[in-house]
Amino acid sequence: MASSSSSSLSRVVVKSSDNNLFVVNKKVASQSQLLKQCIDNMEEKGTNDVILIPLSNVTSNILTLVLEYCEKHADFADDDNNNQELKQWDHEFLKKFDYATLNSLTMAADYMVTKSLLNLCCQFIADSIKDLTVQQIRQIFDIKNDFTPQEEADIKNENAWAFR
Amino acid sequence: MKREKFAEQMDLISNLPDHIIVHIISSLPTEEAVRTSILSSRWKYLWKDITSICLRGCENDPDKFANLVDHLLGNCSSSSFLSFEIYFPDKIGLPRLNALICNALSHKIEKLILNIKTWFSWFPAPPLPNCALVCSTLVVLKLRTCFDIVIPESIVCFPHLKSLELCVILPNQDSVLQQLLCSCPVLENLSLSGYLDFCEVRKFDICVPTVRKLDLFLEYKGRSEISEYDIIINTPNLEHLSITDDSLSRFVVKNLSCLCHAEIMYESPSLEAVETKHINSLLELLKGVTKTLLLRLHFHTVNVLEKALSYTWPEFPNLVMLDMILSDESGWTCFANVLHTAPNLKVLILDLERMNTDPDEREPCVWTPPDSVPTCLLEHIKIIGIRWFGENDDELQAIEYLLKNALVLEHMMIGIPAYWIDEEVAEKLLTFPIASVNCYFQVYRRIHYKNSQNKIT
Repeated sequence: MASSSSSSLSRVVVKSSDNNLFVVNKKVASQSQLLKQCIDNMEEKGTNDVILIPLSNVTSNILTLVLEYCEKHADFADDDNNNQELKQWDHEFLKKFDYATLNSLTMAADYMVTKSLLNLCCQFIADSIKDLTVQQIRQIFDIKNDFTPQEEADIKNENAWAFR
Repeated sequence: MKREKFAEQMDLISNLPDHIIVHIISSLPTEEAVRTSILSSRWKYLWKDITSICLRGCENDPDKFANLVDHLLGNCSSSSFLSFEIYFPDKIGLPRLNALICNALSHKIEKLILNIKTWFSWFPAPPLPNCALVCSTLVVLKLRTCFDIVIPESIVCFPHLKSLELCVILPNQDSVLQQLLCSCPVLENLSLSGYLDFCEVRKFDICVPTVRKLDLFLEYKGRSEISEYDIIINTPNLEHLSITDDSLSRFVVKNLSCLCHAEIMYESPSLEAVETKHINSLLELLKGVTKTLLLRLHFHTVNVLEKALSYTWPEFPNLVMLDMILSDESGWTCFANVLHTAPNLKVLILDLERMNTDPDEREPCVWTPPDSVPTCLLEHIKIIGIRWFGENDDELQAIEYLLKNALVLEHMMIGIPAYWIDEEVAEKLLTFPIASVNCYFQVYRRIHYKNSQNKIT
């Protein structure tokens, strides 16, 4: 099937860091600018082979999730971005994950240049730390306060309006 | 509770690279983003790279607010912002305001949202600073202000602007709106809200070939002598049109061959005030949107239509989904007429919330069956949804009629507000004869519909 001479390839194979292979529809893959760039480059060279894209930074667990997201969004690609149904799906999609998964997903979205997924993850994390006090944020994310009391006071002073 | 769950899995945000953290704090209100500077030395300067600014000037002291915006802009290292959103405090003086906006716009900004509350206190409105009109990087612009818009002639102000939302006192010079719209060669979404009371212009020409979505919100508070307005809509690529109008304007709608979604709320201050010319202008407006696939008629529109029973109504040959909001003022009187205008209708949604919001105060409504069974009912209607069923006799008769005559019905859904449910009425509903062989009949506690096209096919 690989040698079928359709003018452009409709499928690509993506390899995760733990060496699992994912066969992906081109429209789905194009949701990631990184994959899209690889496909475009290969097609410019006129290859008829199956395109194999290794992703050294993304595990198969996370890649499955990114592709699930891409698949859903590829379905809605022609629709306008304000689609309520899609927004609802996005929210449900992220809600399921624990924080570690969310973090890896964010990094993968960044690495694979899937801008809308990156925005979504960042907004989700931002919403979860919104309205928390500095102490709470430090505690939740285990951030060590390495300032001296004097330094801390200086910072507060410099942007006093934000620390009312 | 969600946060407690987060707390159990600590030390994770710090694994993220700086640029992602910056992205995350850019999504916070700016004040909170700045506060992260105190978390630790790693975080001290991260906020300076934020790419979005959102400030609410709840500060009573406008000078203080202006200073902090200046300070903030002076400290941010980004020369371009994805989003810049400011809610200005009351009583900010015009010179300060102008200086602030110009300072902000010396950066490259993709999305600019300016909210200024002082509505009528400065009337007549001051002009919007010119620098706001030559910001060539803008993709989204929302102005909720009292600015008067004055545009220097013959310049393309917004070469990349795709979305424009104006909530303003409509410009008092003829042609200003037109000139503004001409300055947006790639505009796709246009939302225009305006108070017509003090508006001297009588005619608005909305002629934008690129626009795909148009929301018009025209309000007339009756502060001055009632005047007549002409709204001309000429948008050949429009897909989505929503009109909310309580000024009873005269609409001239041309060239809407791509339209798929139309929503109309045409409101008269009182039913007695509806005159022949208003009826004619509503029918004229409907004639302009006959190509649409989806139509939502607000109860105000239905109330005006009730006065138009003896007129000729336009036909909607493409209409597949109709969402009609009924009220107890006009009851079921024009229901039959509306169905007759949509011969190919597949999905019918009746929203009775307005009819049944206050059961004790409900005006008596009488079910009036159509003279002849509408074609769509006999041949096409597959789904009927009734929202906010109030268990009154007229509603039961309507449902009985629909079940008896909808020959190809597949799904009948009835939504009952959770707090009143009568088993007897529910039983009675289920004993009505159903003409269609394959009909699935359901009674829900609550029912919500999405105006989504995907649901139709």
